[in-house]
Amino acid sequence: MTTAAIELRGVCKRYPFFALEDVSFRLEPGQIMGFVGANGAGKTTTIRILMALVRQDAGDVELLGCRMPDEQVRAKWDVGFVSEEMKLFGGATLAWHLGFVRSLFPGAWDDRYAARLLQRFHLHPGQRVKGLSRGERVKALMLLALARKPRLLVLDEPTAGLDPVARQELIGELMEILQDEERSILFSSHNTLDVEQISDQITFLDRGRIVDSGDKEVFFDRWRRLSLELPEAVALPDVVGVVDVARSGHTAVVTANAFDDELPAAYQRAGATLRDVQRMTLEEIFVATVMQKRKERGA
Amino acid sequence: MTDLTAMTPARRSIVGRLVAKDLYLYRWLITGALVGGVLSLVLSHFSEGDNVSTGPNVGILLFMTTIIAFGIFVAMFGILKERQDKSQLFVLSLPVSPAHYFAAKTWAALLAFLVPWVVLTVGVVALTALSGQPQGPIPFFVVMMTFFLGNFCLLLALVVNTKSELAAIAGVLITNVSVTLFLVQVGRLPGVAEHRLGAAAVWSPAILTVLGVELALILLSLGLAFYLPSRKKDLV
Repeated sequence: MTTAAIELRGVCKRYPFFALEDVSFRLEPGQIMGFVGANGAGKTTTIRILMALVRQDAGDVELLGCRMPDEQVRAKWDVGFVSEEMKLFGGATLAWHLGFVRSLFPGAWDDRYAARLLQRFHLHPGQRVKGLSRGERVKALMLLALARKPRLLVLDEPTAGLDPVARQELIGELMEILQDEERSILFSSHNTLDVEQISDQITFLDRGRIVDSGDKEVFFDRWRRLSLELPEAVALPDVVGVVDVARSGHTAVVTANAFDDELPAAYQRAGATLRDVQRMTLEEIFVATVMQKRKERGA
Repeated sequence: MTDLTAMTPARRSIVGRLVAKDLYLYRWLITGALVGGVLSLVLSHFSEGDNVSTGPNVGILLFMTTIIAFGIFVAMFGILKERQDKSQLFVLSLPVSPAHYFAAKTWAALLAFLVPWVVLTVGVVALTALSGQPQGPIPFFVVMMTFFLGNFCLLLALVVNTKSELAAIAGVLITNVSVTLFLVQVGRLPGVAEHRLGAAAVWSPAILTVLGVELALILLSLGLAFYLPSRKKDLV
């Protein structure tokens, strides 16, 4: 078994009004995982534990084979971390920041790559950081993390608070930059559109628990929304993999998380007419997953 | 306590670079404290004959304010503000442990404070000694400057160890109030009061005892500043 870029096993962290419960997932080298959750779901707490900013109450965390937080210094040589709330030093210029990080990573820092990113991100080295817009600040942080060529990037809501243009610009640039790279990335966001564009693995978090995790394409393949027309007397049968049925008069909308050809056939045999089968967006899948899990937990 | 001698050269170099980073960011503060300290000393040398009768009082007051305010600025803006505005997250994303980070913050703040403190203390003592003026005030001046250093170290230990802005502000208020109490009480001590305006510097047992207590306070504060943060579980 290869060493995972990230591995969490049974991680718990308790606060007075919030608890992270038994969080486990694994990110393989070279994969990009979208870490999706509503505000307050526990994404930032999980990432803080990953980056040894907060110590877990229970469970094991490994970053590039290093146990966290004990081996955090060894791990962080190869990890680039950018968070929405992270700031640079306002009074210093971007050039000073570049020099500072370069001096810490003399072997890994790539000057030409940094220069290319400066150009691509339209950043000016002489500009003081306090004069940067929010989007430029995120790009500057991204540049500082990328130019030292880390094997793992941990991005905590990097697009939060950006206007749609700046967000799309950043995602587009990130996708382009990462196209031919072999970096592993954990990308946390509550914006499913960003995650959908960039990730190949998806993990959903809700109220401190992982509610689903897997390959993005598998998510899209197994989730469907079916529109049915029903004669008055027809009752819909219970079918495995159906998470929600919304019936209104002669129509019903069925949400399924284990779609296959047998599902519409089962309803048709019961007397329903299939009007439409729709693929679902990641946002719809996320909302349906969360609602289903909350219902199961009796919340 | 952080064992800097046990670090590999790479790690030691990172702590060194973090210290250098902070000193670079403090550079204008350090310059300001030096300039403010020197200007206030110049002002304190004016007298009625120069038509600046309030010069000595204003000068000494300005001198003390410069040193105290500089210490507060370094502790509040260098450490507390870095935590509040989350640039701490950027530094902690680099290959440093919390122990290295807080050791670097403490060393940098201490060095930043010591630059004007040493220059002004040594400068005043040397100029007084060489100018032929009465040297009686020298021991009390040294004790006063050491008290300022102790106050700064105490504030540093508090700011490094607390997340609470309120606690830091309370620390600032308490250390500031203590200055007046110190000056009045220590100035009246037998073995101090009678020599303060004398021609020769007298290092009485009372003065040496006060100095000893101050040095113990400095060592204790620095011990807490270096040791306690390495035990923190949650940094944010």
